[in-house]
Amino acid sequence: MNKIAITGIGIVSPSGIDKRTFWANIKSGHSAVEKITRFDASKYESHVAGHVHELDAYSNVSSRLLKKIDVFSHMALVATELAIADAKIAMESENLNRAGIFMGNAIGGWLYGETELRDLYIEGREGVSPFMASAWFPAAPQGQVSIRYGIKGYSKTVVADRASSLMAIAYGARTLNRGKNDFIIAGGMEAPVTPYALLCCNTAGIMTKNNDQAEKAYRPFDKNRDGCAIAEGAGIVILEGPERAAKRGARVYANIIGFGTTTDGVDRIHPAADGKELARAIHIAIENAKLKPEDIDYVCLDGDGTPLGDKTETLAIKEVFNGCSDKLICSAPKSIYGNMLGASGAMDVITTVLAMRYGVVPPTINLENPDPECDLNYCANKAQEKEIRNALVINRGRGGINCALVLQKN
Amino acid sequence: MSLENKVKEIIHEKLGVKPEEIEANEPLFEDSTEAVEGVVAFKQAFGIEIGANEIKPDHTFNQVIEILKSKGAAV
Repeated sequence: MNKIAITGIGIVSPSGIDKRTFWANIKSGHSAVEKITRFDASKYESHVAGHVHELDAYSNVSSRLLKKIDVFSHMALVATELAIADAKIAMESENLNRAGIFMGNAIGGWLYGETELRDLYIEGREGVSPFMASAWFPAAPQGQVSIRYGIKGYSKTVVADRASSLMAIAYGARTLNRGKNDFIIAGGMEAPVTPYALLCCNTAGIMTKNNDQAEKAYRPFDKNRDGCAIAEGAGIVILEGPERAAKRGARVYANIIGFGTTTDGVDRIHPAADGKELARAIHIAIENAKLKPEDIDYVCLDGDGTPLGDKTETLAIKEVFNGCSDKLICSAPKSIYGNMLGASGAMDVITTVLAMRYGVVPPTINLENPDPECDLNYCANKAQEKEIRNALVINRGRGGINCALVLQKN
Repeated sequence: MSLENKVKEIIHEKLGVKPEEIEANEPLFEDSTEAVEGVVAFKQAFGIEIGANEIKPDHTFNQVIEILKSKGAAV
């Protein structure tokens, strides 16, 4: 694919909303996973998560609009505003017919949905807010962002479980390649720290039960791993063609240069045990980027922290990087703030472009007892300085979804 | 509390609009969904029946007060 520049980032995460705070917390490996106290979650098998704090302090969303939207749209609006400001785009002077929005999330706005459903069964039909219909569904954040800025160009919301926002960013880049839009707001948002959403996540069988030590619960590639801690948040990037970015003197964090996706076709929840289709997605992405495996300096891993997920991801990496995997450095920085599900791909892209910018590989935390079957260099527990020219971001989702995106430093 | 203040209190609770921001002669609702939310809240708060489309999105605060009074709404 032709390269597409990332010129702005917006972060709403448990590790911080301001990008400097976020990067400082990521670099230090300081865990943001906490016991859930927002509601009584003590009876859930897994009740630890990454929570967003101080959203209101960064929000310019009116109290009137807040009554009509779910928190996942609220986080998306805040992250979008930060990304547009970061990219220094003057929306009022843009042709908004040629601006697009590509968003991804896995579960929609359940805080709004479950509250209103409770009212439906307790109070009857009139107990349900008329805002419910437009608040909960997965494309609601796309709609709210379009209304906020008057954006009218080609746009799309992707629902592909934990690969949703990585796929959204890739499709946004492809859309720019086809010349459909001038620039695109892309990313993801997720708000799973609610009673029903948490229950759904629990039944998916991917979550840690290590509730006694929240900050140590999510431990990808560790021998004692037992799944991920979920997190809420939003990550937004601004995508535009390199010529346009150069013409307006924009800072380019990195370029998207390749993408690949495959499906396992094996199980509704678990990934295929051989990692072959993930390996094929990575091959496609690297070929699409016109690179060779040995050109990749860093891999931002999916790292779901399940025994099978981490093992098969390791198998796929070893197959692709056959002969050079011992020189490769990888990590799963989402172990620091939690797995943001459908928003995790966007957060991984943002973390990776910051890693490229500062020449620092963010760590995989809580990796204390290496699993003999997971024997790559996962940058355990401590950030490492490294010049990163080309990086790979991997996301996977239930139903056997595999995605890989290649980034290149400008 | 007056009927006017009670309505402002309901609008604040249900629609997030501060009482001091409500203008007497401006439309009370932004759109039809806000009007539905308001009507349901008025029916519950005042124990009255309000038919479909009796209160419309473009009705002003004063017009809504008059309709509620005509239905027997009182605090």
